Amino acid sequence: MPVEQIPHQQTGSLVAGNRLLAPEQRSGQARPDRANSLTCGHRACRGCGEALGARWVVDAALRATGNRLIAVNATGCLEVFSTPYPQSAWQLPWLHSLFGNAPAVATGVAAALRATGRADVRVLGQGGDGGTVDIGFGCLSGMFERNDDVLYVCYDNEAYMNTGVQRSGATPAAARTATTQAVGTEPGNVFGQGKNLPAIAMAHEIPYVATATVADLRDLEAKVTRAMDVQGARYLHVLVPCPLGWGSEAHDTIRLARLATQCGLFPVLEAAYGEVTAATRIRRRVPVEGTCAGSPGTPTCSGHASGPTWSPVSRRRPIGTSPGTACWPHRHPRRWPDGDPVRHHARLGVEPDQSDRRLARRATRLPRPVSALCRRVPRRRERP
Amino acid sequence: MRLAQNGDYEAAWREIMRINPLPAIMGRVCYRPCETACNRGQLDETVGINSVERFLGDEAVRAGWTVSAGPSTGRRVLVVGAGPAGLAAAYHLRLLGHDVTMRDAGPEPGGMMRFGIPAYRLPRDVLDAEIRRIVDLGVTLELNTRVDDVAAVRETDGFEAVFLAVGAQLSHRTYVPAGDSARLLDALSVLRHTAGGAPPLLGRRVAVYGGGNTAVDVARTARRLGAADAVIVYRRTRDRMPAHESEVAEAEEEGVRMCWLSTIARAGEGRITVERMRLDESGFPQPTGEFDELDADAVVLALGQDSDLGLVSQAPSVATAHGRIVVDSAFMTGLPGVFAGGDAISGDRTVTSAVGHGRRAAQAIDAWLRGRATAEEALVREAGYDLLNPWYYTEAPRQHRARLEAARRTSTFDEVVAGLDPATALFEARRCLSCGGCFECDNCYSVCPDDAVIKLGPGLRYEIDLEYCKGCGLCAAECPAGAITMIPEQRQPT
Ligand SMILES: Cc1cc2nc3c(=O)[nH]c(=O)nc-3n(C[C@H](O)[C@H](O)[C@H](O)COP(=O)(O)OP(=O)(O)OC[C@H]3O[C@@H](n4cnc5c(N)ncnc54)[C@H](O)[C@@H]3O)c2cc1C
Ligand SMILES: Cc1ncc(C[n+]2csc(CCOP(=O)(O)OP(=O)(O)O)c2C)c(N)n1
Ligand code: SF4
Repeated sequence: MPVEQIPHQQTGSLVAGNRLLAPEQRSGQARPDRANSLTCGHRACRGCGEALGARWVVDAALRATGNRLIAVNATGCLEVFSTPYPQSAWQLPWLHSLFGNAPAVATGVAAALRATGRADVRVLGQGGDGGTVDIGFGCLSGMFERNDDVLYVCYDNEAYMNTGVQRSGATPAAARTATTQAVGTEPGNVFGQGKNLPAIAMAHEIPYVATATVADLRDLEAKVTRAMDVQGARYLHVLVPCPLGWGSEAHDTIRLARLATQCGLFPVLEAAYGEVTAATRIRRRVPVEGTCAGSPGTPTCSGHASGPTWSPVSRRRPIGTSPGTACWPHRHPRRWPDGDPVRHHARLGVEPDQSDRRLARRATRLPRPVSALCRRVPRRRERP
Repeated sequence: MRLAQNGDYEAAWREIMRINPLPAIMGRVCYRPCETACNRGQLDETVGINSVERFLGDEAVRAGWTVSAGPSTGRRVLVVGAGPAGLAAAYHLRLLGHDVTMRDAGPEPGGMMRFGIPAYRLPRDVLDAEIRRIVDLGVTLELNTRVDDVAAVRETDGFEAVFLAVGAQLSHRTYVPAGDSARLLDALSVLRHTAGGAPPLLGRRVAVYGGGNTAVDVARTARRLGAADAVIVYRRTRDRMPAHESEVAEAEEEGVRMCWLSTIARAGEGRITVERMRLDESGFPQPTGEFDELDADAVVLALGQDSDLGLVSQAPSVATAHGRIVVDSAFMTGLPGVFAGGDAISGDRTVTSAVGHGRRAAQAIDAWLRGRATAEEALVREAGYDLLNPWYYTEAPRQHRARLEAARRTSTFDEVVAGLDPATALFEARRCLSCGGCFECDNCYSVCPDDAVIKLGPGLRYEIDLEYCKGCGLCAAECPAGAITMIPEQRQPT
């Protein structure tokens, strides 16, 4: 279940605190005695979503474990900005080894704790999307497969930010990065590529998989707390906008994450043993296009005929002015309202173009949905 | 609102009382200009500020909460007129410790609130309770005492300052050709006699001439006095009517008929002749030469009111214009120490502005007596809708006040609009967005990626640790109420 919504009371449970609610109904981050595991003075950019998300996650995990927690970090912004030698912004035991081995190191820590009889101390692994989706993926899959007692958190800022915004397997289609420039007739990242790591984690049938964003921080906190109640491998995928890499305003970090959820680009859900158990409903729907252009209310698809077209939610810069490059959500292979973009655009009276036809062809080669995958694999783990 | 949201009604009431000594009255008769400015209107529906005010006012009357006068200064001030302007001035002057004598020509205090506004909108027990609370502060109230010459009275009775709040008590007259047997009355006397318990005989069919709130009140009163048919005759159209929309709607529910674009050309026995009008390009009504007949046993003229300014006629330094007293920005007339407010000076003519005048004039009088300039009022920071972050407010539909059913409204003077019960009043108060005001939601404290917002504890709000703040502005962007302002840093020239 997503965090319980408390209705009315001015701001209900939508804000962190709210003096009209009982203290136990407020978030842990509203408490004056919160752990501040990632404390002030770190070197993240202004408005860094990763720094914000990490403090919420690690603080919540500390609270859930009564401060008996060890964190293992992959290389990446989170590691670099928090621990310039010889300093550290972390207020808990914290380890860093390499870019690609954080899940393996976390597994090792968990094994060592088990071997020494410290079952009370829990392990948290964390990294960016590059470290998780790409280079650390093998170790992570192994960690899932062995069901090691680790909560692994991926802070997804949709590219390799620390080394200068290169594309990762989590970069969305059409997004501008240093290696997928916003030029040509099909600017930005290629459509139809990339991995859906939450779905892959679910396919491992681990006890707990969830997605969250820095737009709904109370939900993020609740999910970490819930994950710490579970034994075994757990995976949490958190969308954390990055002002530097996204070219967005520092004060828009939360707004962009919110828009990503409200336009449906980033589904917020929870799953247990490979099956979705809860999803956060969209509260105020917005079209993807207006979302990026900053003009909410623009109906999806209207950008076709004229005007600059805008990149997906994570890239606020125009990606080109040629007709036919807009309408991103409809080009996402799994989201065509009328089956494929040729039919969809024909219904809207928009002339289908070359890329529509190309994408329609690609539709026939789509990977099968996760649920179908799951059914093929016999269930191994017992449900609690 | 903030205190009401906490459920601390007495503190919320005391907060209102710092400004407005008549919350239960204002919660009933105010035309709610503030609610059109309420930002929640852009989210769903405006907050019922007025119904919360009324709830608090009624709670105070019920619980008998009182305020106390300030330490005595020994300075004597005369207030002429015990309408809302005079009452508000007397109240604030007492809080400031001055010695107040209030004189009124009428038999009971309240002014137009008693002799104009009908009981179905303002029950007399509420009026009496709020007036009594002010008088109990130690105001010397002298009724049935008309002040005829301000300067002379001030001299003989030894008052240092005077506040004139004589209202607009004379019915505006217009010439209507009428036969000998026609029954012509003026609205104020109808209302006054009804309020005094001796309603005039109006007959079964009543025509009311005019388009203001007074016309609507008289028509509704006529229905309650047994008129089977009450019709309002007005020169222009509904949208140009000065009467308040909600009152016209309530009148229509009670069966009051409207006759737009018409003037009364002649009044005869049991019948009147009305001429049809049409609006010219500038929206002014022009006669068409077409006539209609209407049955009417009585015609009530409700064409506005004038002030009786006889009491300043012997003081040439007090200027008047358009039948009103001229005052400066501190409410002082041309005669030093003589101040004026309420209907006698304003074109707005509402209880709301009268109470406001009373308060600000009291402050000006206080400053004048102490020989210093009036303190500028510190304005609360207002936040427009674009500064708010509406995402954080929960869905909450406005709570409307129940109304008496129409059948009982045409036979009794019972109050039409009911108050909110405690649960709905609290709900309504919590719909307030607190625009521009921090209500300690902890959002800034928890969204700062740099842990640079320091929480100071309940009621103390927050402080920004500038040593660690990087100026990202997330706290300001995610503050629901727009209570945080970003100020560009001044760089030291290098
Ligand atoms: C029918 C009607 C309905 C109304 N409804 C509303 C409403 O719903 N909401 C709203 O906001 N406003 C309403 N108003 C307007 C409102 O009543 C007035 O604006 C308000 O009462 C003005 O207050 P005041 O103190 O200036 O004068 P008043 O209320 O007119 O009081 C003046 C007082 O001075 C006394 N006085 C006059 N001359 C002398 C003298 N020489 N010596 C001693 N005493 C004197 C009078 O006896 C009177 O008591 C209504 C008015 C009418 C007529
Ligand atoms: C094996 C290896 N390859 C490359 C690097 C260089 N490197 C350091 S951080 C980083 C990018 C990290 O990206 P991501 O994991 O997405 O985290 P982010 O910085 O975006 O938070 C890279 C490529 C490295 N440290 N080790
Ligand atoms: S580059 Fe992005 S992720 Fe890295 S510190 Fe800056 S804002 Fe945070």
